[in-house]
Amino acid sequence: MRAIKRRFGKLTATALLALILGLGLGIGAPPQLRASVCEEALFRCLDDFFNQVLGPFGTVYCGIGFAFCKKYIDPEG
Amino acid sequence: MNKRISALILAALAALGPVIAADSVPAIRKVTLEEVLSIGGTQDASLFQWTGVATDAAGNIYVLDALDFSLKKFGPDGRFLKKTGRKGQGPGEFMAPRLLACSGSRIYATDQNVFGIFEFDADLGFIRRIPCPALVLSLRALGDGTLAAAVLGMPDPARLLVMDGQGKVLSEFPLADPRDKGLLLDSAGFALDRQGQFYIAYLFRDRVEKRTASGALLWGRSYLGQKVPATTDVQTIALPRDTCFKDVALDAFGHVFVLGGKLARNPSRDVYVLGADGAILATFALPEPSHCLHIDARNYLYARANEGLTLKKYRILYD
Repeated sequence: MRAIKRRFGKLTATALLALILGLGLGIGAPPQLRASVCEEALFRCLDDFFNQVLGPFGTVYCGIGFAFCKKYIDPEG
Repeated sequence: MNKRISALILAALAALGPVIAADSVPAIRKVTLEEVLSIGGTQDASLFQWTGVATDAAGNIYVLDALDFSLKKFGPDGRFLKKTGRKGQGPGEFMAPRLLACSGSRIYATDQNVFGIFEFDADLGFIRRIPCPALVLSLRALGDGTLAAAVLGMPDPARLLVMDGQGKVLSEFPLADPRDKGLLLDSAGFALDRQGQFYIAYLFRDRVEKRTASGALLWGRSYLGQKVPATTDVQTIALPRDTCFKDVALDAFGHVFVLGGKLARNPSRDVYVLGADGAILATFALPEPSHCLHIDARNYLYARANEGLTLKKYRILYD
């Protein structure tokens, strides 16, 4: 890192470090972190206390939200 | 389903409006669209994110707006006429407005998390909430106040119900394929032909089916080359990954228009035009991605543009 700082300057070295860290996080992230907007909404819904209490009905409630999200909202479809 | 109920569905369908004579059915080689009307856009506040669309016999256009929590009415020329609804859970209010259907002077709307179907008159006056035993995934009005709805079940499979105007279930059949194990793989949209037969397009399965009024399978076909539904296992749930078909509608000649989802070559734009036997007659792409298709009694096609800010109306041209 010192050699990079000497050669390219402190700012460039910091940017390089940030890039490496960012790439590392992206590659190592669990699927949930890379999930689309609809998957994230579904996880939040399923984790909700009231939906867990509702059991299968809570799953239906969350599931229909996921289906409509995929159909209407997710730009990736 | 007995013959009496089949006759009821046929009578209801007959009340839907004019039918173009069978002998004038064009032989299709190519289908193209010509834009005739555009409602809403980035420069005005007509629509924010429309979800459901329906049309009446006079050509008026009814639209549900999810971000405005409202039902809006536009004239045949696209002029804004009226709006009703606001965010809430009271009569005529919406939390997540989704599906819309029209029959005669009645407009039927659904809210994503409500076990029921809202009925409005043509002036957007709220009439009542028709009870429904489950959450509604897809909705069609058959005429004479008869409704058909695909509803989500759990742990039971999704079902297709035919109901009278009071919400009494007249007939039903399951939509699931017992071979498919996974959440929501039975999610589907559907359309009815004038013989009372159902065309069913699955949201997360590469499958379009034709079924009789009693649910007997006439044919089932795949069009996207997906042998097994794509799922992702997350938190012990097999979650469907990609949409296959987003909607299905019939034109005035009985051709079946199926809107492809993410797995289509042009995601949410490709439309497969099928014959009554499921054979592909033509394929075309919408100018912009859409989540639904609606074809009115005059054979105009309606689809989304600008991610829901705009509703486009097209003339369907057959070559």
